Amino acid sequence: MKTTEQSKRTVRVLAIGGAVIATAGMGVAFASNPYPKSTQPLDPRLVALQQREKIVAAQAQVVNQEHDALWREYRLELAQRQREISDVNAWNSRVRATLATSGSASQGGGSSSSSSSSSGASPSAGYVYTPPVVSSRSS
Amino acid sequence: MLRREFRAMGTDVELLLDPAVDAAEADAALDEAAREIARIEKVASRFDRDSELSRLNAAGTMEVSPDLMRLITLALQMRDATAGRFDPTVHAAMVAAGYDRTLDEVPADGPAPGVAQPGGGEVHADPQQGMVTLGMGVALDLGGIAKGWAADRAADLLGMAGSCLVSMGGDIAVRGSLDGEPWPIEVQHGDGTAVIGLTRGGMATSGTDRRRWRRGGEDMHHVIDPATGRPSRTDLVRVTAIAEDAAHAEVWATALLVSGADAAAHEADRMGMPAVLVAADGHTTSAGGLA
Repeated sequence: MKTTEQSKRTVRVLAIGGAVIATAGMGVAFASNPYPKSTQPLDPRLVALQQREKIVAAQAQVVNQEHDALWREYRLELAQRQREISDVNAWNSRVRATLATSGSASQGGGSSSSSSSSSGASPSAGYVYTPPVVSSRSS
Repeated sequence: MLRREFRAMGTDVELLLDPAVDAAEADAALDEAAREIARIEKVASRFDRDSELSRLNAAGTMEVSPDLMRLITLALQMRDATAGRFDPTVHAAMVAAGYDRTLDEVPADGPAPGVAQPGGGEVHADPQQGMVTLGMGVALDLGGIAKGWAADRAADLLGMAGSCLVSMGGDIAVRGSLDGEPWPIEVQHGDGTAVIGLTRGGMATSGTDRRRWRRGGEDMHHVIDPATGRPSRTDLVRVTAIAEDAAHAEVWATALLVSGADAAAHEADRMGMPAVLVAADGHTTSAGGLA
């Protein structure tokens, strides 16, 4: 009886030990490759989603390019407009200066021929005697 | 003065900016201006097979970008304004004269030129639809306006940071003054050089005395007379013109050069366009109120 009891205990211990080893082995195997690649074809919804993602990314790139182009255009047009405003302001200043000079000359009774009456029509370029910063040559 | 120099559009580019501009802002502005020039080169170069202009010339009809549309539209307007002395349809004439690659690559000598092909080619540009259609056998060469246009665009961007000057191989745009004074720019006279102060707008020089080559024993250069389809033959060798911007200056420098000395002086005076006319014998005339 005693021997039989011991044999059963031994078998039970061995069974428990084997189960522990098997469980540990499965754990190691799962940890090393938790999501094995399926040989099944991908879910078509997933494929469609991935394609859609690519399309949206390409569209976003186009939109960004167009946005950049529009922003650049805006900045260029703003610069041109500012230049025009600056030109008008400069013109007005010249006219005011001319009128002021003419007024003071006539009040003083002097000759108006010495006033800068031509300043409003002065060209934007003229010969100067300073060292050049660049050269305009045949391009 | 802050200065940046590099090569683009087959020429030397110089960007000059007011030194008072904050260093970081100046760097960003110079970068942006350089990028703009590179972008325009990608649009308007006839030597880059992938450029938008090359694709249009190959296709004959195409929907074009707003940049190319503006450039072509301006070129066609200037063809009318100059009564055809500037013409963007001289591409075939340029190629026939041997100018079928960048000037640096054109052989110094070669066989006789091809058949002369005058300008006046048919071009239909529709800004509303963004479409450009070229007539049969017509191709565009924007070399007589694109550098000036690029200088203007770069100057517009750079000018937001501060006073600036942009030079595309001598086609110059300025925005603002240099410490309250005009930008001093050297120009060549027949017997030396002079300096012109420019306070606004653009300046450009067109000449036949540089970048020459020979074909069949005949002297060639890059200024084509659209009326003949051949390199221009007049008593002028160089014209510097000053206009409201660099693109207009570049076009008018060429148009006056093609006109000859007397007609050019008369026209510059009539328009009030400051210009320096240098004749083949070295005689130099300042016209258009330039003094």
